[in-house]
Amino acid sequence: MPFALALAAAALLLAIGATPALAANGGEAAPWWVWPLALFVVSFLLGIVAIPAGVGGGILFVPIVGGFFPFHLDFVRGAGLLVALAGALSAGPMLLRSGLADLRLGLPLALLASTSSIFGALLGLALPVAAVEVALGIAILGIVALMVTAGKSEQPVVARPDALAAALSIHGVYRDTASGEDVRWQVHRTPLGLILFTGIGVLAGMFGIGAGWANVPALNLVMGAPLKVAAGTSSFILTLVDSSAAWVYINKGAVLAVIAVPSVAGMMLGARIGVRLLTILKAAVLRRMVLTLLLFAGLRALMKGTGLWT
Amino acid sequence: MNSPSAWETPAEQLRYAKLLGLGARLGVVVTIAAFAAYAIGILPTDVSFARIPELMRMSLEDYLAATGRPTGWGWLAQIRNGEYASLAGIAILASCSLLPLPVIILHYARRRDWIFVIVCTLQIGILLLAASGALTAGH
Repeated sequence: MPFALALAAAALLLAIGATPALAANGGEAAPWWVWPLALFVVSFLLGIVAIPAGVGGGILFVPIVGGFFPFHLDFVRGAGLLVALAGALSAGPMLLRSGLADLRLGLPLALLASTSSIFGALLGLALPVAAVEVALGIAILGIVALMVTAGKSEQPVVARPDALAAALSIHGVYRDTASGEDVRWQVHRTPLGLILFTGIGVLAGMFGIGAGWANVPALNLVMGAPLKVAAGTSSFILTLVDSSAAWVYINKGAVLAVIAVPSVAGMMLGARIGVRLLTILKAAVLRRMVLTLLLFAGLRALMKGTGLWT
Repeated sequence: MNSPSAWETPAEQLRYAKLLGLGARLGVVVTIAAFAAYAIGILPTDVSFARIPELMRMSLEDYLAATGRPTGWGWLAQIRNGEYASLAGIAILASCSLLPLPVIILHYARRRDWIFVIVCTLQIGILLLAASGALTAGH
């Protein structure tokens, strides 16, 4: 299996490395079908590594495809939101059924985040592309720093819920399949959580990168939801946040089927394989690989935006 | 021996999951089927495939000017076109949540859980506002 992983990683690097050559002369010399095929292959490989590495597809898709394919960033962000939405819709129903996603926890946060994601999307489409690329580069490098430094707590201790969480009856029980025990949970710092999710929504809409990378730490480390409930509820929240922002891109005409559909199909297919590999692969190794990819893609976006590497 | 389990997924959550899953599956099937029909030439297209590599490098504004592509819901009038038929599947994916939200509003209303009735109603309003194109009009 390490061989298969090495093969997938090598194929991903080759595919990414090959795109600048394909893109020579603006990519206009290549037949049209090369691009959807290349997108499908890269998204498929990204899907394989994204799930075991514990990140969403959108965060990998936008900086990598935006940085190394000759597509305009407006179309890449539209496709990125749909990639993130499709991933969340694939997992969301199962997570809700299993109790790992919680409606009462997710709905109030999703309401604010989906509202702000609309404004994030409008802002992203209104700003000059170089400014968005620089901001994307800085955001991706910030996310790498967050992923490296942020801790996680399987079951944070929440002595008592805050007044708002109590008023909204945000609490629950889930069955931990590893231990076979029921885990009761409650949350605190709900007002701070609502503020954070408002900001997260803006970033999700502006960059089209989904927001699982921020949702999980906000739910787990700030609000005190158990890690599994945080990850599950994050996926549910994304189904609403990415839908709202995606509509802005659809209505603006920034969703091209020829870019979005192969990307969504590749990512969903790759994620299915990634889920199967979840129990076999060493997540830490994949996580390091994803962090390296993100670091590279973040620097690429920053340099592209500043004109240092066009 | 294990103590009796307190764990039980709330009924409204199960209903939500079922309807969300149905919508998502429908969206994926329509998107991929329409795109396949578009790519292999079963459905007509108003922008020739040969122009695609040139067009996708353009900014959104230039692309719209070069293709005359409609914004907002204008694509619906050209649904027979392959590009826009694929968009119909994407629109279903982006609308999936509109299916379960009204159902759980009824559930919360029966339980007199008025705060969540309001939260869900506002969420539907936000999704409809985004989907309406009212905020993106006048590009």
